[in-house]
Amino acid sequence: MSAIFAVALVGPKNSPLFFQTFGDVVVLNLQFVVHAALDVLDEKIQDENREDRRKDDNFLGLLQTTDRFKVWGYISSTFHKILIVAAESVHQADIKVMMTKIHALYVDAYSNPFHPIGRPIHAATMTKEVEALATAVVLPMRAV
Amino acid sequence: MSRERNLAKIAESTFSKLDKVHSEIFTMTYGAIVTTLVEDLDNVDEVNAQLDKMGHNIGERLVDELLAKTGLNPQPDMRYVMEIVTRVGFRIYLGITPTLSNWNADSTTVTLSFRDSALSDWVELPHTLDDLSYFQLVCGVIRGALEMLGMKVKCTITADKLKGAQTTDILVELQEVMQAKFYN
Amino acid sequence: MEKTLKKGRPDIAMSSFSFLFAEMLNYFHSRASSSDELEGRLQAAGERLGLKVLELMTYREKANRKDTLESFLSFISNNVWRMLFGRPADGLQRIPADNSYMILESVPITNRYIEAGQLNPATFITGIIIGMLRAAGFNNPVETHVWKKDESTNETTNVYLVKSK
Repeated sequence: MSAIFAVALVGPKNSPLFFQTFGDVVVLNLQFVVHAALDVLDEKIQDENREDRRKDDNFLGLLQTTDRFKVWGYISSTFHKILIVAAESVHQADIKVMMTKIHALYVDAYSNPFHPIGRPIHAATMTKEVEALATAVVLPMRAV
Repeated sequence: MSRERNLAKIAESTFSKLDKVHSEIFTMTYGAIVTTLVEDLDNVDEVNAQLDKMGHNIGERLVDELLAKTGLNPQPDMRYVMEIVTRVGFRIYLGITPTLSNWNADSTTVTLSFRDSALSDWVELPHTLDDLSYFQLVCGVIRGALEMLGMKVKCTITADKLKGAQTTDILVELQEVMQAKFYN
Repeated sequence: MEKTLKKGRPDIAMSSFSFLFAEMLNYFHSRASSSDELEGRLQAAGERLGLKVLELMTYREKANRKDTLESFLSFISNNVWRMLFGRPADGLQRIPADNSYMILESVPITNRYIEAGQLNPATFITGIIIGMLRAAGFNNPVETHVWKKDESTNETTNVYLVKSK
């Protein structure tokens, strides 16, 4: 079973920029999951005045959790959002690392002069590299 | 000292005295130029032609500055001039040193190759622009520069890294030796 | 990813930029039917660049979200300026009377080695500022000016005037 089920990148107005699923999954269900998680993310960042959340922390942590998967969120200082749907047992540390790298890949794609701003990313490199990142995450061994 | 090492030293010493910029402003300005041309002009051939023309203008002026700053003053000797182009010119103006290969028997044609450069960082060509020659500017620069040094050359991009090749290769072919526009 | 993650690319001669910029100016000049149109195209080219460059700049600087115009302009005139032009802008000042801001720069790289007559080549940089503001969600208009540094001298400075909305 893959550790990462889906990666989504969304613009400041929640416009879809990138969405990729991995392994044997039902794509439509994952899109629904991502949409729902976006609402949670938006609520979380509205809560900016909370003492316990530093405003300069891009990583938003866990957005949703079920017994089968967890959804993690990240927001850049330009309001671009990354969501990762991962298997329930994947460590936060692995997700955090992946988020930063996806952000870098997004900046790469964005810096291409031919990439039209605000439109979905179709860069072959991004697709390939995100897949490499996703498949590199290993499911933690469960204690028996 | 070998000619190559001598040129490398001249390149470093000249470069150290020049005003410099980080490459990003250059990369992004070129990207803005190319995308503007793509929007303005009707077809890709026109864009390539315009890039070549711009490059030619730049080459003529650039070699002027290069000779003034380095103190070099080459005769129209293709081998030596191409060494200067790659080891000094490209080093100072693009931050890379392309390789020269496949010289023919009488040293009138050569292939200049490079992988990455300040021109094409982050660039990925969309499929709708398969025929866009992103490096055409470089061809124009080489042509313009060599003309000022008394050599009329033809430059053709024979491989393009943005189109899947391992390196970008430019075939430079000497057509005619003219009287140099600079006098010794 | 390497290019975005860290600056691996060596610096290049400033004249590379100047030669390229001059050709861009020539091209716009050949296609513009008025100096207003020329200025408009130059600014638009800068905006194109500014919209894109903000993502790279904020990523590299690990910058947090800038809520106020002033903190964003401080980020631009310091950090972004350093990354794009090699050094910070000469200054950022607020004009209390109308709540506008000035970014000051004596010699923008667009104006070095370039003779451009009526047109101020720094309009390109104004465009870059506008692009970045828009990308960050600010709608302020920005104008290019050349003003005297102070009353007692004829020395001038370029002023990128960020007006309140």
